[in-house]
Amino acid sequence: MGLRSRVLAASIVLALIVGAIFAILLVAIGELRDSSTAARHSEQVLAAANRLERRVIDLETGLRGLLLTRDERFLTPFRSAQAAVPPEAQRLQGLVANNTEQMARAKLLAKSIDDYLKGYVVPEVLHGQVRSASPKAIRVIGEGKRRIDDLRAQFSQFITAENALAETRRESADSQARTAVLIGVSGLVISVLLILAFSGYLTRALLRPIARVATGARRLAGGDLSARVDERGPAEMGELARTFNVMATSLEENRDQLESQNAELEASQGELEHAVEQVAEEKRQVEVLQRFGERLQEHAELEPLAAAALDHLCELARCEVGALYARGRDERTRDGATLLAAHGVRGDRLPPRLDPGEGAGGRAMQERSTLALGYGEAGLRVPAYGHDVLVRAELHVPLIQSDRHVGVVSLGRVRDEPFAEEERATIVALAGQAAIALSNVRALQVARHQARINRAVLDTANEAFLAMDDKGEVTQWNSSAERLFGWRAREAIGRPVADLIVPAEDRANVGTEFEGFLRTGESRLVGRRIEATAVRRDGSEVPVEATVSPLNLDGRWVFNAFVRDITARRRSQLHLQVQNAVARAMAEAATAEEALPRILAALGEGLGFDLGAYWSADGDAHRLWLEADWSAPRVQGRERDESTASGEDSLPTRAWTTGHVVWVEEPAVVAVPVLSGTTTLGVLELSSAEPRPRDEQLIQVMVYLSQQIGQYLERKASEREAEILKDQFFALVSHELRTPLTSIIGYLELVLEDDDGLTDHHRRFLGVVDRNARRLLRLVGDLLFVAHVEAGRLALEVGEVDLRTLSREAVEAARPRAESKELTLEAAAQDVPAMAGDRDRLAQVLDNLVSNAVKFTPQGGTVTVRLAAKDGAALIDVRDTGVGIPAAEQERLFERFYRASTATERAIPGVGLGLTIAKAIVEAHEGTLEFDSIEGAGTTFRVRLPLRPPPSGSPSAERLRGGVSR
Amino acid sequence: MSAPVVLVAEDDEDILDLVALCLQQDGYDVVTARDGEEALRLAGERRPALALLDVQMPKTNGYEVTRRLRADEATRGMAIIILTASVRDTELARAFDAGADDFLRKPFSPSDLSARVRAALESEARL
Repeated sequence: MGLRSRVLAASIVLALIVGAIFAILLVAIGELRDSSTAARHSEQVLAAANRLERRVIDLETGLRGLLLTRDERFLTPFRSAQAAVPPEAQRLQGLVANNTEQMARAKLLAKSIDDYLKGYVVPEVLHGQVRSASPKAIRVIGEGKRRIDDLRAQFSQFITAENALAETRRESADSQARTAVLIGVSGLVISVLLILAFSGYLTRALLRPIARVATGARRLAGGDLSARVDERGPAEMGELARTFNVMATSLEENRDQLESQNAELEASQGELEHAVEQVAEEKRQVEVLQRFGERLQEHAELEPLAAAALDHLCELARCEVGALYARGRDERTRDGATLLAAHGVRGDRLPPRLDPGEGAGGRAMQERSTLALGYGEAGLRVPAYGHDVLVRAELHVPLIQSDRHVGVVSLGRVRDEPFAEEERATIVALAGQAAIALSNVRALQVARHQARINRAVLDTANEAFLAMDDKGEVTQWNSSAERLFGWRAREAIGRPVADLIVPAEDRANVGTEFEGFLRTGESRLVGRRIEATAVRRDGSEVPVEATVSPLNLDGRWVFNAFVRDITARRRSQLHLQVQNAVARAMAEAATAEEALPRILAALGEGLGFDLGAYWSADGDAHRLWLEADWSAPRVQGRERDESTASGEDSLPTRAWTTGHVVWVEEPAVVAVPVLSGTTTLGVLELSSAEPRPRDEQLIQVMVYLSQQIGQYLERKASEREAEILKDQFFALVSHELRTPLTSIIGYLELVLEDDDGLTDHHRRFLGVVDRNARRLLRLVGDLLFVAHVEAGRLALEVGEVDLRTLSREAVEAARPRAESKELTLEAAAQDVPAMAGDRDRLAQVLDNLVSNAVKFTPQGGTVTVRLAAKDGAALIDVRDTGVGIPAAEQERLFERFYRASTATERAIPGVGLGLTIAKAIVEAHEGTLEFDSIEGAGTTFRVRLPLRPPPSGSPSAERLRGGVSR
Repeated sequence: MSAPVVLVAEDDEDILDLVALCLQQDGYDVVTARDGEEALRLAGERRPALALLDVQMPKTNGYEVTRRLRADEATRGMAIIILTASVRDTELARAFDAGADDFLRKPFSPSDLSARVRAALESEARL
């Protein structure tokens, strides 16, 4: 049973016992209280009985007084007593209701009183006419007295009984009180005893074991690991003690173990210290090696390095003398080594060269192994150290670096102390380092030598060369780069290329490409020729062609770039473009007026000017006229001050009067005289707000162009003159030929109208005159027409043309002549849509072809006219069975005034203009006129006209191509 | 109602006679001028209903006469026909630009002349 359960059980028992004691005590007290209540009740009963008795006596007294005196006054106490009696009697009965005996007596009392009142008082006293002091009165009084005595006896009996009862009750109460006191005292005693017993138990079972454990713990804490506690004790306490003991035991064991381990540790510490010493020694050696290495690294040149290495070696190896020989640059050869450094002995006293196998050093070198010589051997066999140096111990160590034979180092001690084994190992290790250092410096020298050669080559290169590392910083910058970009090599090296030569707006882009290349190994900027704009130190831009070659060296990229200034090439390209643009402007414009603004635009746009003007020179007025001007879209709206430009001192005037180019740099104005031969036609002027340095090459270009322009203007001027002459000729022909014909034809018509005044003869003659006058008129018309065509001035009045109607009309017009010659004239027309064309001119073509066919077809022949549409074109065939055209002449048929032999031989009239005109008209409609002919069999003319939709509305004066008109 | 007055200006004597003859046959009152200045003077004096003007005349050519007639309040309303020997359409354009109502190309037939004059006067009368 656990301690906890036990304590719990004991507590419960204790509580129950105390509870029981108190219960008994309470019962006793209750009984005591009941007893005292009963006793008090008896007193009340007695008091009630006494009160009732007194009332009864009062009744009798009052009655007696009445009877004796008949004094009504005595009725007052009687009445009050009479009123009080019944309730008193009632109360008495109430009080004794719980006691049957007393109850019976009380009832009897009440009845007796009632009898007294009803049986005596009322009849005798109240209603009996009794006089006072009469015998009856006395008898009545006696009667009353007797009755009262009975009553009193009853009262007395009742009271006696009640008193006895009260006595009994008092005694019972006393007894009860005693019992209660007894129980209370004894309960208290028992309770106290029980609590004491419980406390004792707790002390024994809990506090004492805990105190024992606490003491043990204190002892443990104090270091006494042997402390143990009594394990007796109930349940958990025993467990606690046992646990404590186990713990203590385990602690004790651990301590023992620790102590033994400690002993072991102390033992191993000694070994450790030894090891630490060894490590320190090794470290020292490593440091010696490292320091040695570091010192060697301070030297970048071969001889100082050799001297330093030898000095340090001698110092570390405690040698008084030493020498270092190194082989030549080419380590593969079997050459000997040269003396590079000497220690403790003057160099000139040592052999300058050491061949393999020669002496101890030579042997060490040849055999590639360390050679140590002791006293006796040394000195004699090494004469190199001089006769006055007596060397007792020598050590020759070959210098080998990763299989390459670098040289040999020889060390000597004058004192008699041979080289110990460990010393040799250290020296060999140091010599190894020296070999590495020597080898590196030599490689560096070789590399430097190569770099010097490369640099010399690059510096003499015409192209700028620059190299950069993978950070984009310049590592090389040759003298051409210095000249091209304006940065000295020492300024450029180490700075980002982008900051030096890339225009600000391109830097982000170039940076992105560069990073992209480092990430992916690809970029459109490397490995090929690129054209770009670079910026110089002074901020000016220069067009360049660059080739950037990436090279991966040991995992790091380097970039080599050749950069060439292509300003000249760009400029000549530009100039060529400008020349072409000017030539195109001249070729495309119909007139000089049209060409000049285009020329100015070509020059201005191509050469980057804002404004351009052409001033035409007026020698008579001695001034310049603005003939044409141009302004770049960006400066549109800027006004030109004509008066200043044409003034005496203006730049164009200076160019005109001097005949030379005038160039002002800021603001830039260039005035170039335009010459034709030695005559100055005018002045070209170009200007811009931006300053512009004089550019000789550009001047050459402009002079050349001004010559071209001068020739062009001259040519145009003479063309124009010819044009004017031609116009005058046309006017002359028109007027001077047609005016007389007007009179001839007009008067003839008037004469012929006069039917009466003419004989038939006259009429026939005049008919001949009229016909020939009209023929002459037609001829004049044809001549003018041909002249117009040749001048490129055939104008078409384009409207809607119905070819069916035209061909029918042509056929019908020719019919009278055909019939007169008994020809078969056939027409076959398909549906052809209305087309755009000049109706009159096309009618002229058809008339000409049909009338020709009729003219050249002998009697009885056939002329066929066919109209069809095919492939968006109208086809008109006019076929005859006429004389035909000899094959040899066919080629010339369309020449003006050409007449086929078949026509002239047969004296067929004509001037040879009809076909020329027909062909010109057809071609003005962008059609073709062809023919097939076999001499003597016939000819077929074929017209092909493209079917264009006719213009909407009335015929307009739109000119088709080929019909330029003024 | 008297016959309408028609002014004919032409430097070629033969043609002038021919035109005058034709118009007189048609019943017009014909006034003739041999140069531009004379034509302008007569136009002012006689107030013709119609003027036939040759292009090529001494002193003032037909176009100029037309312009001046049109510019003058008094002669603005008359009908004007230009006579020209040119076959070029540009000449015709110039005639209309100057203010002519019609043109007649030389050579012309007398019947054509009559028709044109009649037509011009009729359209004049309608206005």
